[in-house]
Amino acid sequence: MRVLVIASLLCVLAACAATPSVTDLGQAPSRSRSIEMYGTLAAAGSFEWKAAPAYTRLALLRRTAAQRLNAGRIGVAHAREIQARADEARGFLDRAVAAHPRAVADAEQLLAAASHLILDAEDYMKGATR
Amino acid sequence: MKVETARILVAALLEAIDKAEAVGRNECSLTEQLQALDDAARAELEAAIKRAEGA
Repeated sequence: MRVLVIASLLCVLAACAATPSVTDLGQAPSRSRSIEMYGTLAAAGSFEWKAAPAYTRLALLRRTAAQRLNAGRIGVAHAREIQARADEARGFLDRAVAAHPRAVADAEQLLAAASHLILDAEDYMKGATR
Repeated sequence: MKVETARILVAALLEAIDKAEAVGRNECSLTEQLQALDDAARAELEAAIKRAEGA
Protein backbone atom coordinates (compact mmCIF):
# COMPACT_ATOMS: atom_id res chain seq x y z
CA MET A 1 0.00 0.00 0.00
CA ARG A 2 2.80 2.41 0.98
CA VAL A 3 4.64 1.74 -2.26
CA LEU A 4 1.48 2.43 -4.26
CA VAL A 5 0.87 5.70 -2.42
CA ILE A 6 4.43 6.90 -2.89
CA ALA A 7 4.39 5.88 -6.56
CA SER A 8 1.09 7.73 -7.07
CA LEU A 9 2.42 10.84 -5.35
CA LEU A 10 5.55 10.80 -7.47
CA CYS A 11 3.34 10.63 -10.55
CA VAL A 12 1.31 13.58 -9.26
CA LEU A 13 4.46 15.61 -8.66
CA ALA A 14 5.83 14.65 -12.08
CA ALA A 15 2.56 15.68 -13.70
CA CYS A 16 2.62 19.01 -11.87
CA ALA A 17 6.23 19.66 -12.84
CA ALA A 18 5.67 19.22 -16.58
CA THR A 19 2.14 19.21 -17.85
CA PRO A 20 2.27 17.80 -21.38
CA SER A 21 0.15 19.04 -24.25
CA VAL A 22 -2.63 16.95 -25.75
CA THR A 23 -0.32 15.79 -28.55
CA ASP A 24 2.31 14.80 -26.01
CA LEU A 25 -0.23 12.58 -24.30
CA GLY A 26 -0.76 10.63 -27.50
CA GLN A 27 2.96 10.22 -28.16
CA ALA A 28 4.33 9.47 -24.73
CA PRO A 29 2.69 6.50 -22.98
CA SER A 30 4.61 6.98 -19.73
CA ARG A 31 3.49 10.60 -19.38
CA SER A 32 -0.03 9.65 -20.34
CA ARG A 33 -0.05 7.16 -17.51
CA SER A 34 1.05 9.85 -15.05
CA ILE A 35 -1.76 12.14 -16.08
CA GLU A 36 -4.23 9.27 -15.89
CA MET A 37 -3.19 8.54 -12.30
CA TYR A 38 -3.39 12.24 -11.46
CA GLY A 39 -6.94 12.24 -12.72
CA THR A 40 -7.74 9.26 -10.53
CA LEU A 41 -6.31 10.94 -7.44
CA ALA A 42 -8.07 14.19 -8.22
CA ALA A 43 -11.38 12.41 -8.36
CA ALA A 44 -10.69 11.03 -4.89
CA GLY A 45 -10.84 14.56 -3.45
CA SER A 46 -9.32 17.32 -5.52
CA PHE A 47 -9.85 20.17 -3.08
CA GLU A 48 -8.25 18.19 -0.28
CA TRP A 49 -5.23 17.74 -2.54
CA LYS A 50 -5.24 21.43 -3.40
CA ALA A 51 -5.27 22.51 0.24
CA ALA A 52 -2.72 19.91 1.41
CA PRO A 53 0.46 21.79 0.35
CA ALA A 54 -0.78 24.94 2.11
CA TYR A 55 -1.35 23.07 5.40
CA THR A 56 2.07 21.47 5.02
CA ARG A 57 3.83 24.78 4.39
CA LEU A 58 2.09 26.25 7.41
CA ALA A 59 3.31 23.50 9.72
CA LEU A 60 6.79 23.78 8.25
CA LEU A 61 6.76 27.57 8.76
CA ARG A 62 5.91 27.22 12.46
CA ARG A 63 8.43 24.43 13.01
CA THR A 64 11.19 26.38 11.28
CA ALA A 65 10.32 29.48 13.31
CA ALA A 66 10.57 27.46 16.54
CA GLN A 67 13.97 26.09 15.52
CA ARG A 68 15.24 29.55 14.58
CA LEU A 69 13.95 31.05 17.82
CA ASN A 70 15.64 28.28 19.81
CA ALA A 71 18.86 28.95 17.90
CA GLY A 72 18.61 32.69 18.54
CA ARG A 73 18.28 33.45 14.84
CA ILE A 74 14.96 35.29 15.23
CA GLY A 75 13.61 37.28 18.16
CA VAL A 76 10.58 36.59 20.33
CA ALA A 77 8.62 39.43 18.73
CA HIS A 78 9.29 37.98 15.29
CA ALA A 79 8.23 34.53 16.43
CA ARG A 80 4.99 35.95 17.87
CA GLU A 81 4.30 37.75 14.60
CA ILE A 82 4.90 34.56 12.60
CA GLN A 83 2.58 32.64 14.92
CA ALA A 84 -0.13 35.28 14.51
CA ARG A 85 0.20 35.30 10.72
CA ALA A 86 0.16 31.50 10.62
CA ASP A 87 -2.98 31.45 12.80
CA GLU A 88 -4.68 33.83 10.42
CA ALA A 89 -3.74 31.68 7.41
CA ARG A 90 -4.94 28.55 9.22
CA GLY A 91 -8.31 30.20 9.79
CA PHE A 92 -8.66 30.86 6.07
CA LEU A 93 -7.57 27.31 5.23
CA ASP A 94 -10.04 25.69 7.63
CA ARG A 95 -12.84 27.87 6.28
CA ALA A 96 -11.86 26.97 2.70
CA VAL A 97 -12.01 23.24 3.45
CA ALA A 98 -15.32 23.64 5.27
CA ALA A 99 -16.82 25.64 2.40
CA HIS A 100 -15.98 23.05 -0.25
CA PRO A 101 -17.96 21.74 -2.15
CA ARG A 102 -20.95 23.78 -0.93
CA ALA A 103 -19.42 27.08 -2.10
CA VAL A 104 -16.63 26.28 -4.53
CA ALA A 105 -15.80 29.87 -5.53
CA ASP A 106 -15.60 30.97 -1.89
CA ALA A 107 -13.43 27.98 -1.05
CA GLU A 108 -11.02 28.80 -3.88
CA GLN A 109 -10.82 32.44 -2.76
CA LEU A 110 -10.17 31.47 0.83
CA LEU A 111 -7.46 29.04 -0.24
CA ALA A 112 -5.83 31.73 -2.39
CA ALA A 113 -5.94 34.17 0.53
CA ALA A 114 -4.40 31.58 2.85
CA SER A 115 -1.63 30.81 0.37
CA HIS A 116 -0.88 34.52 0.07
CA LEU A 117 -0.69 34.91 3.85
CA ILE A 118 1.63 31.92 4.14
CA LEU A 119 3.91 33.34 1.47
CA ASP A 120 3.96 36.69 3.30
CA ALA A 121 4.78 34.98 6.58
CA GLU A 122 7.59 32.98 4.93
CA ASP A 123 9.04 36.19 3.51
CA TYR A 124 8.70 37.88 6.90
CA MET A 125 10.59 35.06 8.59
CA LYS A 126 13.29 35.20 5.93
CA GLY A 127 13.70 38.93 6.50
CA ALA A 128 13.74 38.54 10.28
CA THR A 129 16.35 35.79 10.30
CA ARG A 130 19.90 36.78 11.18
CA MET B 1 6.67 22.17 -4.33
CA LYS B 2 9.84 22.03 -2.23
CA VAL B 3 11.25 18.61 -1.40
CA GLU B 4 10.88 19.28 2.34
CA THR B 5 7.19 20.06 1.88
CA ALA B 6 6.69 16.98 -0.30
CA ARG B 7 8.36 14.75 2.32
CA ILE B 8 6.08 16.03 5.08
CA LEU B 9 3.06 15.60 2.82
CA VAL B 10 3.94 11.99 2.01
CA ALA B 11 4.55 11.18 5.68
CA ALA B 12 1.21 12.73 6.64
CA LEU B 13 -0.60 10.75 3.96
CA LEU B 14 0.97 7.47 5.07
CA GLU B 15 0.03 8.21 8.67
CA ALA B 16 -3.54 9.01 7.64
CA ILE B 17 -3.71 5.67 5.82
CA ASP B 18 -2.31 3.80 8.83
CA LYS B 19 -4.84 5.43 11.14
CA ALA B 20 -7.74 4.59 8.84
CA GLU B 21 -6.59 0.99 8.42
CA ALA B 22 -6.12 0.60 12.17
CA VAL B 23 -9.81 1.28 12.74
CA GLY B 24 -10.94 -0.64 9.65
CA ARG B 25 -12.00 2.43 7.70
CA ASN B 26 -11.88 2.49 3.94
CA GLU B 27 -11.31 6.26 3.68
CA CYS B 28 -8.63 8.43 5.19
CA SER B 29 -8.56 12.16 5.80
CA LEU B 30 -5.37 13.86 4.71
CA THR B 31 -6.78 17.22 5.82
CA GLU B 32 -7.35 16.02 9.40
CA GLN B 33 -3.84 14.62 9.52
CA LEU B 34 -2.32 17.87 8.26
CA GLN B 35 -4.43 19.92 10.68
CA ALA B 36 -3.08 17.79 13.52
CA LEU B 37 0.45 18.30 12.17
CA ASP B 38 -0.04 22.07 12.16
CA ASP B 39 -1.56 21.97 15.65
CA ALA B 40 1.58 20.18 16.88
CA ALA B 41 3.84 22.68 15.10
CA ARG B 42 1.83 25.54 16.64
CA ALA B 43 2.29 24.10 20.13
CA GLU B 44 6.02 23.67 19.43
CA LEU B 45 6.39 27.33 18.44
CA GLU B 46 4.30 28.50 21.38
CA ALA B 47 6.51 26.51 23.78
CA ALA B 48 9.64 27.98 22.18
CA ILE B 49 8.21 31.50 22.60
CA LYS B 50 7.36 30.86 26.27
CA ARG B 51 10.85 29.49 26.90
CA ALA B 52 12.48 32.47 25.21
CA GLU B 53 10.32 34.89 27.19
CA GLY B 54 11.21 33.14 30.43
CA ALA B 55 14.91 33.17 29.70
